[in-house]
Amino acid sequence: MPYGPYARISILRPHDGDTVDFEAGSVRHIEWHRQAKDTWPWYVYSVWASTERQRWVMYATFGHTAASLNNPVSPVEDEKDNILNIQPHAQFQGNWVYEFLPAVSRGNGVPTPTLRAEYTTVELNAGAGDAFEAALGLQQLTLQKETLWYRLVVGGNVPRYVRLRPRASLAAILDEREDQALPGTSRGLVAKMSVETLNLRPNMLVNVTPEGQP
Amino acid sequence: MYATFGHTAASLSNPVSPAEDEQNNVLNVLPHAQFMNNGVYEFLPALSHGNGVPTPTPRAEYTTVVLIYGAGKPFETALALEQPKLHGETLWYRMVLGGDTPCYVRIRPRENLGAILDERADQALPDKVTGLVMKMTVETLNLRPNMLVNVNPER
Repeated sequence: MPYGPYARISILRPHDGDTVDFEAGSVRHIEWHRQAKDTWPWYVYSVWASTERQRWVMYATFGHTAASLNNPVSPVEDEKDNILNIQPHAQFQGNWVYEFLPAVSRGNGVPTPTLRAEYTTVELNAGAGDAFEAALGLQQLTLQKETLWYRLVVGGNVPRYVRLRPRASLAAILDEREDQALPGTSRGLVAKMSVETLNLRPNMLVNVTPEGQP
Repeated sequence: MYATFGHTAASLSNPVSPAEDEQNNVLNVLPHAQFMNNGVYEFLPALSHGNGVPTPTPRAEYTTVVLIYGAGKPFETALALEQPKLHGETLWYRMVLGGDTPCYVRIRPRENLGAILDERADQALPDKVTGLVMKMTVETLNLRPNMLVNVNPER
């Protein structure tokens, strides 16, 4: 595999009525990462379709080894800038490390930076992880387009999985709605499944070039 | 609640001037409100009485049904069997994007609250789906005639 398997995903909820200042602070903080010569790829998405997280903002970085995740750029200064530019305007709601699962996916674990993505969260009953992955593995060969599965390693209740399907448009996501369903054999394993969509924020990326742009 | 109906995937994917829409949203709406939910639903004609674009009546009954995981197909099969019995406009939608699945919404546009209450006996789902439903919520909506775009309220 050309990339490390780990992804870090975090999500923020902007304070009500504070959107303008949050957006401005986010742009300044992203600029801090650029000025600090951060080598990590940073994807920033807004949650679009969602029951609980509409307009929340997701920061994510993919393709890491354990060693690279263990060595972020200038963590003390990063935190200082965070406190200055982000924390006054938003609440941190989650921070997770996931492991990419190539045997059940189509793609390399580093999402194509398309303008939209379908983001599915699957929470399993305790102890159902192995059987769930086996079920996904059996249908891996049928995957037609980029479909990236990740298993939660640290950050919350387990077993929990995320599926990311980057697509160019909302229409592309809707046209593939029949492919949302999980294998029939996973029925007794799943406690909860949630499907959301993400909008990429082209002005907030670091070391990531949005697809279709130079 | 802001809603738009009767779209193809392509038309939903091409809203008018999204950047300017967002700018105006930030200016006029976000300072005064909290966005709680945004979903995309698919109309289910085989379960419904109507064409998927609600009649813009002053009132509507709005029912949300959350199922246990994996119960979508038997739920739709049971509702389809009951479809010939539907009398008034009854529109079923399946959530495609925007939260926990499976989730369904039923809209029954009606002229007034009296009409909604007179049909309370029709609120119930078929007995066959009892074991499939995790949660069912029934609410009513009031149309806002001064806030419609390309919609003429029914008189």
